[in-house]
Amino acid sequence: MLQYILNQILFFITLGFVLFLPGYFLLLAVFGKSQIITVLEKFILSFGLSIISVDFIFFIFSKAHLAITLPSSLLGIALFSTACLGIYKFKTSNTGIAASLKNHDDKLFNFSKNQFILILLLLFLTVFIKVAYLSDTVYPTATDMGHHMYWAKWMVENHALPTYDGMPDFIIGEHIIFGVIALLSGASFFSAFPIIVLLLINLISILTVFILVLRLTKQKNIAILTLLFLGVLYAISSPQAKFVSGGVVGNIIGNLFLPLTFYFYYRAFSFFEQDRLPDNSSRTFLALAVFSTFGLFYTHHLTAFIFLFITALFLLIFLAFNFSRLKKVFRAIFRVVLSPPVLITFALGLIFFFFVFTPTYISGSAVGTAVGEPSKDTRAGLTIANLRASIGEARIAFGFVGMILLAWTLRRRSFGHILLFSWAAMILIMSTLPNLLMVNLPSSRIGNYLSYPLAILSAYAVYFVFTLSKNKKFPLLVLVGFVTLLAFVFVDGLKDSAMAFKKKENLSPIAQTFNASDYLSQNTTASDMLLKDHNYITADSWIKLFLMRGYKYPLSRGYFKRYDDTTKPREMCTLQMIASPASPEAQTCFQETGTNFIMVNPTSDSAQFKKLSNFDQVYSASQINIYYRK
Amino acid sequence: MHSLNQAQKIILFITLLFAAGAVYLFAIDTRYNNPAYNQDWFSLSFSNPQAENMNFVIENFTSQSDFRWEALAGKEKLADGAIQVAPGNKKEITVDINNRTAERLTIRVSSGKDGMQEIYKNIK
Repeated sequence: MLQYILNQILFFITLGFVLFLPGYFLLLAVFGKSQIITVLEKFILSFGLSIISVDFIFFIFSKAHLAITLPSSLLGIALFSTACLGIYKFKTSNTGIAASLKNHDDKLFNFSKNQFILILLLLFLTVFIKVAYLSDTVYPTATDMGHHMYWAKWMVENHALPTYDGMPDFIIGEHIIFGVIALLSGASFFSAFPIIVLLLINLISILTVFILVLRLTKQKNIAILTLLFLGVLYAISSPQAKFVSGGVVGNIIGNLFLPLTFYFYYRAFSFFEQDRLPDNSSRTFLALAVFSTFGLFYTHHLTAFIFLFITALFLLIFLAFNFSRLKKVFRAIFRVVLSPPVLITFALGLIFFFFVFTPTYISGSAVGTAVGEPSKDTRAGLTIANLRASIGEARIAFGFVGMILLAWTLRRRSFGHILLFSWAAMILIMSTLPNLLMVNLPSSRIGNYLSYPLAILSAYAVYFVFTLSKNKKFPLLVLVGFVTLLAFVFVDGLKDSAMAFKKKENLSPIAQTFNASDYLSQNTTASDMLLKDHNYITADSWIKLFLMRGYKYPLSRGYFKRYDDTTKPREMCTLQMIASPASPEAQTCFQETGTNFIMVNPTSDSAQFKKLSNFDQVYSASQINIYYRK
Repeated sequence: MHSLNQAQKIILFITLLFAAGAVYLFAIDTRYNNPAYNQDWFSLSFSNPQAENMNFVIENFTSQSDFRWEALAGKEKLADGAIQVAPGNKKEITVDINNRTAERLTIRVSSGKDGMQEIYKNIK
């Protein structure tokens, strides 16, 4: 028991050390004692900046060929944090810098008693619903999570950053924090730790949206309503708790980095809203925005791709609104961009990106395949019905109302509103009309990103209607209709949360998969080749974490529909070796692949092996059989 | 608590909420990893799948300890026995079978209500 408690304490200390301290000290180094960002913002922003800082620390390790071990990781993060602290101490000894930046935002972050209680209540419900759902899915089963944790474990075992064998679908920023946390805390990849880390990132992403909305709209009630629409309503559906339990690591971190990056860009250019000239803080915020952008590109190419499109639409709208004073606008932009902190950050980012550690998707074909005519039906765009299913009917309705209202208020100075509008509009276009932009990516994956801006727009719509009704600008009938719609939002949004309290699933199939995997890890060597089935074996993607013999080890019989691809020929060996092991095709496959162990579900795939005299059944449990081919 | 400002109270609240949630998830996870949870199955395997001997291992994830095993050459019983394996434990059983006439040697293990498992090696 004492050991369990000590392990828990060590895990939480590690979380703080890896996911909070580096970012916090970085903010201290950058802003000194300035209160230009409030205590709450500093706390929330520290997490995202920590993840990016830790990534960059280990890129240096990789370039310098330093082994990633417990002491070296500890030292690397501690050195970075200490250096930031040193800069902070140096800066604060120079009182001029600290005094020049004063806090003008006390009022914005000062909530009334009712607002404060509401914030705490919404935060409680957000965490409660998510934890209740995750308590049933905490056991490691998700396919994506298995794939990602393989690379994190690879990093721990090989003391280096993974190179992914050139596979462009994995990006380094998705795995470093998991590897480092496992290394420092000793937490098992088969424990709840990966899900807890993703839950933390998910919660921080919601809080980041909260402070972003507070800054963009200057309306506390809209920010609080955003907590309701993003945190409490639809708390389970994708990309919320379901993505956490499913180990959709890139999306979860991407949904933190996207608002984080927007936050810094907004703070850098918010001087446009006040029609004033940029100051030093604009340059500092832009440098942090550039740093966050590189973090985004190092973590998830899809989110980065979406970010580029949103930025393009934003620039188009903003410059169109400011067409008559373009010269003035560009002069102000250049004053911020052409400054030492921004140029140095950008140059360092580029050096890291191309010379220190280049993401695999740059050298791979991922970029090329993401642009062009949609190559599959699933990439041809979502219908409104599809969107309703993925975002939630009520949130879609309110989001659209919010988008129309927001579009109505857009003015040349409304930098923040244009950003918010571009965020929602671009993802909507990318997911429903990908042809228009030559986007060749799964539309549903892009559509998942819509829930964040639509939650903000829903909050905006509710706030707008109630504010106008307070001023008696709406007829009573419209207000009654709106309140009815709001009731529908709650019912629809909370219906999703009912999933959090579903019946517990039987866990013995998972335990059997792990037991059989452990058996194979002890009774086979790398010269043996295993083939397992993905269709009927639970948690099969975690088998490779027991064996650690390469990402593509063991071979896997995939979903049956994958073998029916009319567009290109697929390898059929993994199908034939299980479906008809005695066939001449399968015999050739056995020879070519060297497969000598087969792991299948006895109910679905056992009879064909029992008939053959060259297959021994060497392991048996109710959900798993293992056959050995002589 | 009164000396804290609103921002600090929100930070403290979210930190405690997250910590409580994480501790709860770890506790659930520990319970799932406990062999005493989901006590409804056992595994049967050869000690060495690639060797010719028929030694086997029973790994018990049921709630009871009593198992019966038998070694068969085709349908003929060559040996049998009873063995106790405590829940959450495993035990290796050594069997010496010299029947080289049968095509298939089978080990069959049963455990009352938790069913029966069998494994085999083909001789010819």
